[in-house]
Formats: sequence, structure tokens, C-alpha cells
Amino acid sequence: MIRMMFRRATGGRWPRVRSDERLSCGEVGRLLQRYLDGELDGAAEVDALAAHLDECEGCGLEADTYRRIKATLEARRTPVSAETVERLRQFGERLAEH
Amino acid sequence: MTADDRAAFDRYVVPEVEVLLRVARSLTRNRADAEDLVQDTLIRAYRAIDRFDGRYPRAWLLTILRNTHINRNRRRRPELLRDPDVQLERLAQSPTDDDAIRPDRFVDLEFDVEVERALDSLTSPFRDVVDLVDIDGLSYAEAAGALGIPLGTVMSRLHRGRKKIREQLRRAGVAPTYADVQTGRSR
Repeated sequence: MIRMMFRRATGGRWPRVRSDERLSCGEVGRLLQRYLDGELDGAAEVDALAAHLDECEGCGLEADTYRRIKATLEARRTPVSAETVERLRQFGERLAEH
Repeated sequence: MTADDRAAFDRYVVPEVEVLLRVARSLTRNRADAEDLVQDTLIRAYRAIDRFDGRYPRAWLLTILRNTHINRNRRRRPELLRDPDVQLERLAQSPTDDDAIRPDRFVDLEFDVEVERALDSLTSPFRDVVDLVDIDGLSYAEAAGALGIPLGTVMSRLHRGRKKIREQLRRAGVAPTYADVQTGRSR
């Protein structure tokens, strides 16, 4: 509990999560989005979080839902027109020639 | 432009054109404006390349893009409508394969529709971050550069934006929570 309060107060910087640490559901909730985005700083945090998600049905379900949301949003990524990219690249290259 | 500057421009700026265009499309929500915005950004980057130290070119360019966007908006109407062509294209890209008639696909489609609806209901601060990170694939640091906000703000807006989406999915009954499953509220 105290460890969690310190982590919250320091934005998760201290004390660092150890890979064999058993995280609480609250801590997992705080780290989950960064985990799903590949933005967690340390491998220890990633390991501890992955272990919790494997064992905890509730957090595992939440993680799956957020993964699906992320995948659905990612699928909305319409490709930019290759023709426009090429036109802008040529524009940049012409600029550099000046 | 010196030979060194030209090499730096080719090395750091030109390869980022596609990312710049994608982000510009999210910021302007309009295809023609996005192309104009990238052109202006390239011109500004060209003028500033001699002062660029070569570190984090994408973040540097996204900052220029954001400032250019703000300056352009000061001279024009603040909010632009979405490009109808983009919307029509999106509709045309909806799944039409045989899988679409499978019952489990209906659940997927409902999920997708609800995500779309929830995204549209997000207010601009949340929507912008979700667009840049989830749809355009930027890192938190890159999104912070593109929007001119601190990294912590990107994280909190993203967290809250996704939570709102998640809540809407729960209300629509397409993504129950564990507590719902336990109490038999799932479908």
C-alpha cells in the first residue's frame, strides 16, 4: 500500500517495479495503457504486468478489451495517398536543390 | 543552402514526409489542407535546417508542423469540417466479404460501430490524442510534440479518452467488465 502511494506520488518512478513483484489490480490499471502501447520503461515492469494479466481474469479481460479497441482504431488508419507522398517528397527535394 | 544542409535535409526531413502527411491529416481533418500544411512545414524546415542538431528529427518536424498549423489557423476559420471524400472512402472500405454474415462477425461489427460512435463523441483534447497515438501510430513523445503538450498530459488524455470509449462499449453491451460477467450481465 505504502509502496503504491510512493509510486503514485512519483509518477511511477520510485520504487521501481521488480520483475518478480506481484502487482495489485490497481497498479496494473495504472500501467495498463502504457503496457499496451509499448511505452513502459523497464523490462521488469513489463514482466510483472504480463504475469499479472496471465493470472488475473478480471485484468486479463480488461486488457483484451483495450487491445480490441486499439486494434479497431488502428484499422481506421487509412493509407495516405502514395501519389501525394511522392509529390511532397519531390517538393522537398526541389527545395533542397535551392 | 550548403552541401551539408542539403544532405541533412535529404537525410532527416524527406524520409518523414509520410508521417507528416498522416499527422497533418489528423490535425486538419481535410486532405487538401493536409498537403498544404506539409508543404509549409517543409519550407519552414528548409529554412531552419542549419540550426537543427540532428537529434530526434521526427519530434523536431512535428513541432514545426504544429506551429505551422497554429499559425495557419489564426489566419483562417478555426474548425474545419471533415473531408466527405475520406468518409465515403471509409464506408466503401467496410467489410463486404462472406465473413460479414457470420454471427460472430456481427458482434465484431457492433463492437466496431460502438468504438466509432464513442470516438466521434470524444471532445477535441481526448480525440486528438487518440487520433495521433491509436490511428496515426505516433509514440507518446511524438504526440506530445505534435500537440505542444507535456508527455504526462498525453498519457492522461489518452487514458481518459480510451476509458470513455471503453465505458460506452460496456453501456452498449458489447464489452462487459469482469464484474458484469460475474453478476450475469453479459450477453
